[in-house]
Order: sequence, then structure tokens, then C-alpha cells
Amino acid sequence: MNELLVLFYILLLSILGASFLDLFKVLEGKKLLVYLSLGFAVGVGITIVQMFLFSLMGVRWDRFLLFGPWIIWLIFYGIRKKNDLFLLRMRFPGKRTEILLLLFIVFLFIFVVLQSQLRPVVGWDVIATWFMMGKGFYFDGGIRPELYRYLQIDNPPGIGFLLASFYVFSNTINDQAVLLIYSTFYGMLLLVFFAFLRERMPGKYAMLFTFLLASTQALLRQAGRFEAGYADLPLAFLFFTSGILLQKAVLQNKRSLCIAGAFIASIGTLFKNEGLPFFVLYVVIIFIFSTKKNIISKIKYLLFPFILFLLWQLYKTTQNTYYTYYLHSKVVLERVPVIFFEATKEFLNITRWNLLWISFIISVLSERKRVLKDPLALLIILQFFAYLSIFVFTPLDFVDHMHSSFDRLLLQISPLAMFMIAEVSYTILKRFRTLYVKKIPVSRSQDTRSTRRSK
Amino acid sequence: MRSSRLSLAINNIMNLVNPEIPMNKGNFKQRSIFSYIVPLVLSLWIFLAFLRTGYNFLRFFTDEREDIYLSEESKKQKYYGNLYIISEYLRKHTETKDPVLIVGNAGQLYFFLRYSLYPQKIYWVNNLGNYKIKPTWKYILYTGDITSLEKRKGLSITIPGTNNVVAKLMKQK
Repeated sequence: MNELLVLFYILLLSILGASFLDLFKVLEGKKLLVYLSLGFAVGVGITIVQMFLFSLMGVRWDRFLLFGPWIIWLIFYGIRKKNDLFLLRMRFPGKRTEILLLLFIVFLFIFVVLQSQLRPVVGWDVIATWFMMGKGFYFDGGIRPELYRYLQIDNPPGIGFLLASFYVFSNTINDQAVLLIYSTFYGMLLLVFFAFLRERMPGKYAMLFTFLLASTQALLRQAGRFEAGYADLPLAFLFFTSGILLQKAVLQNKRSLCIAGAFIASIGTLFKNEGLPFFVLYVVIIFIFSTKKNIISKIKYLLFPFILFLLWQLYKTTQNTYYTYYLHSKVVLERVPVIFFEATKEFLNITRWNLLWISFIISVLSERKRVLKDPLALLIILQFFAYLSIFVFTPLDFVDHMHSSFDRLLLQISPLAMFMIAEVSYTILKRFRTLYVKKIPVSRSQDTRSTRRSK
Repeated sequence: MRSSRLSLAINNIMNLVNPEIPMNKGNFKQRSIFSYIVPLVLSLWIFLAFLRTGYNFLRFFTDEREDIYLSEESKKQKYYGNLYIISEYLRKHTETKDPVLIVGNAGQLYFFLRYSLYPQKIYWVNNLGNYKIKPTWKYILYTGDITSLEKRKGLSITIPGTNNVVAKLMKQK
């Protein structure tokens, strides 16, 4: 029963987010996959902001208060836009290769869903921090500084809000059913990844690279296996959606995409501390590219994401909940060679990443001239250096710290890196074919299809 | 003959038929080391990905099969072990409003109890030493090896069906 409630809850968030994307005309076209997956990111964001604001205003969370207005909104919006609903479309794969790859991807999704229900929460950070926050917020009916002081943590409340919102929705705490949300993040990530990649390359390639991402062991572990419940997979999803919107905004010179991306990136700051450098870099990159293309001329357009970003920073400072061991740390540059050595070791960890990071390095090297011109590549590389900088000034044993957290940090940017690999690899494969593979006589059906496409 | 077959084979494997792209054999600028490395690495990656997906599938029906048939209770006993036994004991024998102090090298137990028994407050010290126990902490939970636990007073928490003591619970007067 609780599992069905999770499904209903996820659908509600997706449709809610999609309605806002439609309202502000963020997306062109009526692609069902894009609306569902991006809608989920926006829906999660809206719920978290609402819960935070309710907490600040002292309004105790209640099922009807939290979800009632949105259900009324959706009914109203659905009636108004009922004709548009039928315009949403999705192309089903027709070729054998695509169907085979799709079957493998679906299998991997079912696998993580089953895995998430196979065992209780086993990750220690999950029990000590993330699920603890969710349970605490639910019992307190909002965020209370006393809980932070009791737990002695400095993590942002986003994941806790998300879990608590489901507990409020289902009126019970079920830490097994709630793990399905993590599998959903995995599924939605694959959907949005495929949908955006499909715009750049033929379906079978998009499907192939989606499968390569889906089969990454580090992702599978957080989606449902032993590490389900950590905040890195949701953060990876938010980073990916916002990053891809940024790239699209720069390419299409479209402000609404940029603002939507900045909103999603600001939600990332409420999920985990690593969201903070990402958001700052995101805004910096927007302004770097705005000087050339004038996407966002004035900061007022980014006011809302900025407020969200500042909200948590102000809250933890004013409420004196700020427990961090970084306060007494200092920069130790002698660590840099060891940090790079350890990072290389992690890149070569095939059991966790297959060949993702090796391919990423190859992609960066092969497109080294383009890297500085591509906002996505710039974002990934700068965020990666932000991660490395953590270990330069950590007060903990930096090698131990790296061993325990570096893989999780890499996971956050792995979908973005995979997207870049896919783009670069496709370009190179295309060249490879034109150089080394003879042209095959084109069948009549293919010929007419290509002529139609070129028209 | 052989080279054309090879071309066809590569073409079939990679499925790169895109009639819109003109053939450009003479463009040597495009020919870099990456034109060789990328297809090679990708092929290896695809092979690995399929292999691991198959392996995951097999594990689900071999190593992990027994978990499918376990009840929720048995799963918790299997994955949490003694932590779950202690947690259930405290749930039955203490009240939510009474805080518990854990004494001993028991980080995992502390985090587990803090989560599973919330809103009951749980505190933890490694060693009592000169530590001043607050009178509001109603219960003290001693953990450690059997010999150290034998010296302690309080109610023994044992593994069901055995006499193995895993912790001792003492109520403050």
C-alpha cells in the first residue's frame, strides 16, 4: 500500500513541476519524457521551498496544507489545459538495437526498484544523518534548531524535507517504502538524460549512452542497492537537470531556461553542502556567457534562486545550528600531489565506474580547445576542482577523507560527465565512420527518410 | 574483399549509417589518436556494461535470493544484528520521554538507536571516567565485551535463545 502511495506521490510531484514548466513556457515542444523528468525536479524543488517557508512561518506541516493547494491547482490547470494534454507525445523505439538497449535499461530500473525493497536501510550516513533528519522533521512538524543541535550536523535540510513530505503525505513513517524515491531519482535521471541526448544524436546512440550511464555500479548502489538513501543521487539529478538547462540556455539564448536551471541548482544547495559551490559556479558561468550572448542582462532575474540559496545560509547562521569541523582548518598545499594520485586511483576504479572517468579524460583531451567554450564542460571541471579543494583544507586525515567520500562526490557530476562523453564520442564516431567505413548503398526507405529529414 | 567485409562489420556493429554526412577520406586533420582510442574504449565499456548487468542479474537469483523470502523482522535481524536486538529491548523496556546514555565504544549503536528510537533522546560517551551523569538521563546502557559487562550491574540484554549478553541496561535512581 505504501509503495503505491510513493508512486502516487512521485506522479503528483512530476505533474506539479510540469504544470509550472508549462505555465512559464520553459520548454518548447510537447515531449512527455522531458515534462515528466524535468517536472519531477521542479516539483521536488517546489515542495521543499514550501516546507521550508512553512517552517519559517511556524506553520505545522499538515497533509491538507502541504498538498491540498497543489491538488486544487492541478485540477484547475488540467481543466484549462485539457486539450494540450493530448499533444504530449513520446516516440517508441522501432529498431531492434534500440529495443534491446531499452530492455536492458528497463531491466536495470526494475533491478534497483527490487533491490531497494530487498533490504532495510544499511548505509551508516543514511541512518545517522539523512533518514534521521526526515524522521526528526516529521515528528517536529517542521525544521527546529533543537534537532540540529541534538544531531550535531550541518547538512542542509532538503533530503529531510523530501522524506518528511512523504511521511506527511502517507501519514506514517515507512523507511522501506521511501527508498523507492531513490530509485525514482535514478529512473528520472535516465529519462531526462535520454531525452536531452536524443536531441543531439540518433535514438540508438542516445539509448546506448543512457545504458552505459544506467549500468554504472556507483549509481546502481545509490539507486537501490547498499547505499540507497544517500543524498548524492538526488543531487546528481539536480546537477544534471540544471546543467543541461544551462547549456541549452546558452545555445538557444533563452532566459526562461536559464532561470529554471538556476532554480533547480539553488534547490541543490538545500540538499547537500556540495550544492553551494555548484550554484556559485553556475551563476558565474551564466554571467560569463551572458557577456557574449546577453542571456541574463540583469541580476533581478536570478533573484528568486538567490533568495533560496541565501535562505538556508541565513537560517543556520541565525539559529546557531552551525556545526562544522572546517572552521579550524587551513590550506595545506603539500597534499596536492597525493590528492591527484588518489583521484587518479578512483578514476581507474573500474568496479565502481566501468570506464566512465577514463572516457571523460579522453573526451576532455580530445576536445581540449572546446572545453572553455562549453558551459557544461566548464561547469563539470570547475566543480571537480571544487571537490579536490575540500581535501586541501580538510582538518580530517585527508587520505581517509578521500577514501570515504570522493566516490560519492564524483557520483554527483557523473551524469554531466557522461553527457559530455556522449557528445564527444558521437562526434568522434561519426568522423571514424566517414574516414574508415565505406559508404553502404542506402536503401530506398532510408533514402526517402533522410530526404524528408533534410527538408 | 576482406577490408570491405571488415568495413561492413564495423558498420554493423557501430551502426553509424548517416547518409547526410559526406565521405571525407582525404581530410587528414580529422585523423587524430582519439579517432582510434574512443571507439576502442567505448567497445570495451559496452562489453563491461553488458557483462556487469548480467552479473547483477545472476546475483539477484543466487546470493540475494534468500532475502526475497525473509520477513521484515528477519531482514532487520540479519542486517542490523545485535543493534536491532538492543533497540527492540529498549523500545519495550524504556519510555520515549526518558533519555538513555550509552557507555562504551559503540558509535554504530549510538547512531542506530538515535534513529530507530527517535523522539527518545540518546547520548553517548566512550568512557565514563570523570563524566558527570545528568540526573535527567534515566537509563545507562553499558556495552563492550562479555568480561567487562559481567562487572556491571543492571538488566542483561541477551541474544534471543542464547545466554550471550550484548549490553546491560541500568536504571538511575
